[in-house]
Amino acid sequence: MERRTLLPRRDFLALGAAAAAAALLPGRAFAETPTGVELHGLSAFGDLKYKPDFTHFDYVNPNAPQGGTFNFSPPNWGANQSPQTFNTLNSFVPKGDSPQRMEMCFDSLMVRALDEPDAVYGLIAESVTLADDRNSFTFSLRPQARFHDGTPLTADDVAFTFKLLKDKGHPDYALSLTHLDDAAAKDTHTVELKFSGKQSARTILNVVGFPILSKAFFTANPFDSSQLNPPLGSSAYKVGRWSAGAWIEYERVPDYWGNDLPVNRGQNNFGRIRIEFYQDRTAGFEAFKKGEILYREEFTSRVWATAYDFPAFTGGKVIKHEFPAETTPSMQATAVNQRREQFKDPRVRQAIALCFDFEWTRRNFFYGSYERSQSCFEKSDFRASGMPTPQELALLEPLRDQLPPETFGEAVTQPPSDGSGRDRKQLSAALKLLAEAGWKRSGDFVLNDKGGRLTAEFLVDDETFVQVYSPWVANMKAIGIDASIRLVDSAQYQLRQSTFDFDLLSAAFNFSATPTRDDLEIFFHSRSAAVSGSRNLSGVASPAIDALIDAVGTAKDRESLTTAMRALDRALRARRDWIPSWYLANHRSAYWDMFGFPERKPDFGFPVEALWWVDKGKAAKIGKA
Amino acid sequence: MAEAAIESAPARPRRPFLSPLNQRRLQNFKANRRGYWSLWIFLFLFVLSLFSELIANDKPIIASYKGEILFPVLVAYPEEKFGGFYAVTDYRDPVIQDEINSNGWMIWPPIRYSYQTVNNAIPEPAPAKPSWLYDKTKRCSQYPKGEADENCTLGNWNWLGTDDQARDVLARVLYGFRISVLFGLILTLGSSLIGVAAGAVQGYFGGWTDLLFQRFIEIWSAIPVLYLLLIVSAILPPGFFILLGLMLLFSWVALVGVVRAEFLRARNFEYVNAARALGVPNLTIMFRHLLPNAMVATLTFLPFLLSGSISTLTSLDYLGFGLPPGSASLGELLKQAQRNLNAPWLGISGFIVISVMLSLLVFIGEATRDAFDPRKTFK
Repeated sequence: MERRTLLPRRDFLALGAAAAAAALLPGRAFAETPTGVELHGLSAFGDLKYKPDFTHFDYVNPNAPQGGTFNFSPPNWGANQSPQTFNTLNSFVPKGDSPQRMEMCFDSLMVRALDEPDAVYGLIAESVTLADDRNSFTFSLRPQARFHDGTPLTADDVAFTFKLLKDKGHPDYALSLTHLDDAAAKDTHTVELKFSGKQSARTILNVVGFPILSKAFFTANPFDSSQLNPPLGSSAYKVGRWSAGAWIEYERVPDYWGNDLPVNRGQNNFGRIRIEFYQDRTAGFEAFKKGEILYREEFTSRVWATAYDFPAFTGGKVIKHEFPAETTPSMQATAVNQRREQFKDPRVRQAIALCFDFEWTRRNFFYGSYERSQSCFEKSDFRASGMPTPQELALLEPLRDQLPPETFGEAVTQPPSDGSGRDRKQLSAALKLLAEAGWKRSGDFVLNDKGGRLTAEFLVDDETFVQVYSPWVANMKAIGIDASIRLVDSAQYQLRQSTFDFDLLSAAFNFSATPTRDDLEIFFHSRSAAVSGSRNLSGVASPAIDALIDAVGTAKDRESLTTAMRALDRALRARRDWIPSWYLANHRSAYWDMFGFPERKPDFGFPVEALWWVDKGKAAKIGKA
Repeated sequence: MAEAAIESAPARPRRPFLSPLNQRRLQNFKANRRGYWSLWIFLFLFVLSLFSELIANDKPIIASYKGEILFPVLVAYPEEKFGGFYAVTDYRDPVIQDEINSNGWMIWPPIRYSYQTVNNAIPEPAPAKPSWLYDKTKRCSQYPKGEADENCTLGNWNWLGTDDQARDVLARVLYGFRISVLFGLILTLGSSLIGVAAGAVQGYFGGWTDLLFQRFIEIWSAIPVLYLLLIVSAILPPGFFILLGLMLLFSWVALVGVVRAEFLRARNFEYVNAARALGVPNLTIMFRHLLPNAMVATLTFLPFLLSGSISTLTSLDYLGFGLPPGSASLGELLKQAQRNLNAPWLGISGFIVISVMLSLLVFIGEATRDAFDPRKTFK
């Protein structure tokens, strides 16, 4: 039901051209961060929760016991990793399939604090210094940093890593390094990263989290996916036993150099982390039932609602627990393509939205899970609600004549239906809107003054969406819209999506916790409306929206960023370019009851393998000690 | 004398309705008991499914409204007629039902679902179990008035449960059976007409005609049909007739080989040469003298062709490249069964319908082949 789409590589390239054409406004990132001073951490607006002398993050248990084995199915993966198999242990190159969590074996310059939107704190790097132009970053490294073979980790390794990843790395790494001009070792423990000035504001926050590889190792071994030997790492875990394509174990390193660093304390508690690979999630579920796998996140509502009836669960050995999802903005919505003549009128878009009976769908298809999405920045602080605040009005007021009047009232929401599947009240409201927009009923369909039908075709690439949208289409047909669903293969889907050749198309996206101008332009700016491959699927091209995106891009601090984002949310919702669908408010976790974990889950991440620990008492109780 | 002669001349025997040859064929067909019974069962099911609209439908068959007799099954009345506003009347809607019932009456088909009618009142998230597995309270729980609701009746039962879009499986199976059989029959008929003609021409004329045609067929049959279907479905929205046309383009090849071989064998038989010497036109020779020879081989292949067409349609639907979303299709039912292992009624219904249909057709085909086989004798 829910699909997260990362921006594909191709789109980055297409959009690069658009961004280059745009006159770049001066980057505001780090505008508030002092230059020429050694900093223990970085964030977009310079606000750091943890002071230089912090001892541990608030979201960990600093006294967590260590040891035990954690056998789990990781819910997410990146770069060339695959949840189904692996044929290389190099997780940083475009080719091959590598096991999940390989990056766990490598330390990075700095690490994210998961209870702040975008703050990073030093790990290998003791401190970072900004140059005056805010495009160069000098890191001084901790002298005690070591690889697993005991050799020191030096500035040479860091410089080597960034050049290597830029040239030959997986796009997940290489793309962030596009605007890296140089990575140079100043001395054994000082390294400088120099950017061209075209980089996005968030680039450096991303880049400092990249794994640092060993120069010696990758000089002796090729940097590609041809070999199955574990690359030399530096972190709390190293590759233990493994069987290609079947399973892998990461062993805790007993004399890890960074064990007592504040950014590590209370984390990496498991003595061994084991991942087994299944071609099919059903098979993985069977292994979980048996206790072969100890932790699992459930993606299917039906399984979550009906399949947890096995003996270990009824006997209390397995726990189902919902943890709140990350508060990063996400949008799952249906784009109404305004490049099509019939959808230019917002009343038509609203009428289509009214035909969707979410309450019925939720009860009969989703087993009561999922929440109705209302905003373009759902789950986050950027979601607008109620009447606009004076600050938001200050941004919106100058644009009053270009925005729909609803922008200035209560934030637009999708009205709940009566849940009958055919809410006559909503459908008659929809029909009225169509009539106002000039669509008159004649026979089985509504026609415009030229006698044309109002056609609306859903483009989908997965049967699941045929299921969910069929009742919606039936309701549209009931009021005379010539609606249909078109199921195509994924290649064609991709093509038609990037050339905007569709009527209605649903998509799900995650924004970053601190959206930049670039992020938003891809989705909502008039500049991206004509760029093939952009995410401006509904073809929003409004000077007012552009102005609001500028307001976000030039926000000086987090508070004004939030205000601008909320104003943008109001305007987008009132325009009804996207019909919000639904979102999952929680992680659906199931685990064998033998773990301890911190009371409060951090807002911006959920790395179970790093934060949880084995609770010996509980484990003994269920016979898993 | 002359009159007497005329009177006593033996009366010209009346031609029986079936020629002796055909009588023998009928005897042979009947002698295959399994095939004979299969034919009757199949005909019964097929004729029944031809009237699916009267058996399973979301519209009443006859209604009387304000003194007027209406036939909603045949005529699409706009809802304005009953004071509503939908483009097409939703007779399942309680508002419309109340309106009609207070101004007249209506007679529903035994199953009140068509193949794409969504049951808005399923007691559990879709796919819902067959209704007889719920008790009355549960079964009626989603109707506005609960157990007292007049719509919670036998006609609204899902005898075989619902699929994962909350549609009635029994109605879908009924309509799906019909569309599959029709597809199979039309495709088989079309491809045997083309295939037999092509094989006959090749075999009869031989020489260059045969040589060139054979090479063409080799190339033609090397085209991967599935990929072609994928490509075409990217351009044209797939539908019944587009699929039929596409399948027809390739399925006729199957019969060419056997028919050609029979014609090649028989083209120089003495009686054929004699007919040719008498000046009988080629077409007549092919039809009258050679085709019957090829009939056994053709008929041997027909049941396979027929069941092959049906299973191709089913598998295309299963893969999602067959009939458009929403059509009554058995392949989609199987697909759903695979995705919803907790709903065995989907898989079981689909399996039984498809296996019964294919078995019946193969049995009938077997008996037909026996009937046309001149060498086969039955006591």
